[in-house]
Amino acid sequence: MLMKVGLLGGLGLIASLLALYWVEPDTSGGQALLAIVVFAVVSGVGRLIWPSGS
Amino acid sequence: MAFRFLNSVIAQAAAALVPALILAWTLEAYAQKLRPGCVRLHDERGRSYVSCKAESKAHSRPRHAPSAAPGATPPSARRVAPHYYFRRSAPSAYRAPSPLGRAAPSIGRQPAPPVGREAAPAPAPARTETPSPAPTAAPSPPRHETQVPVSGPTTGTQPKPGPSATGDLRQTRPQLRAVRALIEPEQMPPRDVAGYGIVAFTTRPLPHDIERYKAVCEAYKATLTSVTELPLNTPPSEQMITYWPVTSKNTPEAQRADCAHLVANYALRLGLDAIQDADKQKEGLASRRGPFLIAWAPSDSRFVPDALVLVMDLSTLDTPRSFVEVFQDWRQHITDNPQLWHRNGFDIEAVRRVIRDTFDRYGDGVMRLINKT
Repeated sequence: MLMKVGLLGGLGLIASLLALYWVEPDTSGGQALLAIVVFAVVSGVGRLIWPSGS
Repeated sequence: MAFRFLNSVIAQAAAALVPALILAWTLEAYAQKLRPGCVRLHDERGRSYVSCKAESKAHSRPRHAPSAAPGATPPSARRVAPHYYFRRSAPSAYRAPSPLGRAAPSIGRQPAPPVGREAAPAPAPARTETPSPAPTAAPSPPRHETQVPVSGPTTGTQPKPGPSATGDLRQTRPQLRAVRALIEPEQMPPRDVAGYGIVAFTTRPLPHDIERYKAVCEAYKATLTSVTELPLNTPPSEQMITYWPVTSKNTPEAQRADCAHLVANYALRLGLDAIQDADKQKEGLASRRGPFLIAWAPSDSRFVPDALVLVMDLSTLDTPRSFVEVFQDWRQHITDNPQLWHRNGFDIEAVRRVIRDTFDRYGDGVMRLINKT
């Protein structure tokens, strides 16, 4: 469980950083929103692929 | 709490919704999906179809002989995406004057003072911003014959280039220079230049729009050199001029290209006419936010049915950096061979700009909302 959460969190963080590097939002709000959205997407997709209990 | 969030339905909903958003962004920024060598054309009724040429180079054919059946549109023919595309134009207010016996307008008779400088008395023809008054019988230089693959069946057939009056397709194309200049309504359309573009806004600036309009103007000035900076011996046929329409360009503010002045005195009629001429497909471009960058090459192809026109839609952009990037892209494309004006495939840079500007537009507001809750 902890490993799964850590893995998803790490992937989400990496994906957020990559998205910030590629998109390069100009505003701090845009950067924050992009990071949150990407993190949520990666985490959500990870939860769908790797459901709890497995 | 982080664990709960990760396990929450919100994360799963985001995983479902955000890809849909990304798809929407992608579609918004998606240009023509055409195979290399294919272009999108329009028949007399405005319906679009795809015309492809064979691997070998196109050869001369009558320019205005539409041979494709309007119904020959392949199933894969797509509606042109709004952001950046290449289309046929229709003439509107400006009609190609008869080459003979026409009362010459004032265009080109009096060389206009250069942008950003004091007015120069009678500059050399190569330096003039205004075109010569009399159109020639064969206005297009040879290199531009390649730009018009006229209608043909959708796949596997060669397009029909423009009329042979323009010369051999394989003649060497001189290097075109992308420059900027101001133009007044009385001076439109320009002649004898290799081609011209126009920054076409759909409205005059409203108070909340002024900064955005100025950002467009600053990007326009930053990426394109003034026509007066060209070498004195640069012929007009090597100039691709992107015009900023103004009501009067003989004011001190216009001379120094003051963006506040240029924005406040934008000649809206020229912009709307250009948009109308470029909107052959009746997509309602004039109802969009704009601005548009529109170009025709050669300069009189605007009045030719079924001519090629380059259009860039800046409606989704807000930041100065995005405008600069688009103008840099524009500067490259208008000096390319017009046959290359059509976009082949997916434009990832357009997607990136759209995503960036979307997050910049909404990011601060959403974060303030989150901080309040």
